[in-house]
Amino acid sequence: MTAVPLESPFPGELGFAPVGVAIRALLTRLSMAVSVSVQPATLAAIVRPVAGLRFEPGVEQELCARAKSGDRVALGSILRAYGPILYRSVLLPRLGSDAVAQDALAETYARVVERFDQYEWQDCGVYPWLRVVALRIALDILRSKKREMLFEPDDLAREIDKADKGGKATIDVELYEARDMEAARAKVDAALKTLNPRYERAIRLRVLEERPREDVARELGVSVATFDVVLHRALSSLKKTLQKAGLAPVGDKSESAS
Amino acid sequence: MSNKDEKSDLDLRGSGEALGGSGEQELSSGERAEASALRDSLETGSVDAMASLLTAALRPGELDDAVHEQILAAALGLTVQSAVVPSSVALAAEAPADQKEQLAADALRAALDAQRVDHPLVTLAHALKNADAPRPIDDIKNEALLRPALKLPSRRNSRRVAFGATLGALALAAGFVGLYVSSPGLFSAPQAAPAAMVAPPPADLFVPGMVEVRSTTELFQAEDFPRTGGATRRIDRISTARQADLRQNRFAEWGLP
Repeated sequence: MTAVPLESPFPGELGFAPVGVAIRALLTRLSMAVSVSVQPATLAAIVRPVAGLRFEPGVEQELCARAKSGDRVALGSILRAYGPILYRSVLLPRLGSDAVAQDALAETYARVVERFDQYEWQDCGVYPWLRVVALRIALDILRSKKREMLFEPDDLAREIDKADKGGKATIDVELYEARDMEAARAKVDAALKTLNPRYERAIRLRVLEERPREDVARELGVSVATFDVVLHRALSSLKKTLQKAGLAPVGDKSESAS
Repeated sequence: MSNKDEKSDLDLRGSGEALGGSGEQELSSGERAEASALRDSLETGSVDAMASLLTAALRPGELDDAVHEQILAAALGLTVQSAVVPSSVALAAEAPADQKEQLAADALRAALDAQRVDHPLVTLAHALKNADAPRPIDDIKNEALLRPALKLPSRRNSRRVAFGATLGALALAAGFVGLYVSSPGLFSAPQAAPAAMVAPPPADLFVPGMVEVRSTTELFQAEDFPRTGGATRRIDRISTARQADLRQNRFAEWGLP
């Protein structure tokens, strides 16, 4: 892991600017690519902590202690580091929509700030605790909206149970991230396997790989106009399948009927 | 094989023997119709129970990959989300679209191109994409979500508040100054102040012929002014009187009569 800037003068006082973001992104790349260990105090004098960076365990523990005692700057550092990971590996894949996932992340932040005084330090670090908070938020949203696909509330409830039991708690945040993203990909694969292979291929090429429709039509050996129809049938078919399983959005009956 | 199937086989054999024995004249019109329907269904590939049995026996087809996956997953105890895909769906994948379906496909293409999330199938497509390869959150967006939770004022908001407060204070001060310059009487004592209480000008500034400092009370002794209201008319009268006084004083200062 790479050392991370900690003693941050950051946010409320210094504010936020795109230039700062660019500088931080550049420093992140440099620090990761060259494995340069930057002294916290030095870097903190220049920039704020970089979103997505990981903390060394001892430093993270110290940050958590400060955050628990009400230090918002320390808590902000923790959330800046782990929030983007929660978004990308936990919230967005399970909720499906950028807007809903961002709402969930905001809610996660609010709940963490509200309840961080209840957090007790564990050797596995703070990320597993944050992940469970995010999962609970996602579960609440799934239950209330009933319009998300692929993941159902029971899936999340099982994940939360598993995390609560502390079965395979690890300090490796990247491992959590990889597992969560793999679980989401497995859901996609399972859903696509229920389709006609032509439909599955059309969705994989056009939606997942985002290839131009002309290319996909050529690959499938049909005209572009026919490909549009095939893709429409493919997505409609997938939607029907998910609806049968009680997971799909039920907004548009005409689409699902076509 | 069930008794019913056995009976069907027997009937079929009976028909065959009869045909072989006495020719086509013995076929009834009903039998002709059935034979015609069977021929049509075999030619068009539509599914008929008996025809399927015969075809499967004579020319067994390939097992559909999706169906095979489903059977295999079930045998291995893996989670399967839906029943076996009907082969009719596979056959219909490339079937011609009617006008309604073509329109729906065009609408989907347009919505996908425009990234319109109000189209349900686009929403589904985004969900698939976000589950398969979720994009990271933008730094600026993340910061905007985090700040309210931490209750830290953003720099932009702080600047806006400071700028607004400064501008407001300046505008207020300028308003008071302007009002004072244009109508100093408004800030003097109320109009009921007795003339005796008004301080005389310093002796060195006094020039003979100048209008002496005086109260505005005398301007409103006329009966046409009500006790309350008529502020504009009062101000106009004060202003007119003060302008006349100023003019008179300047003339006096210059030595004009």
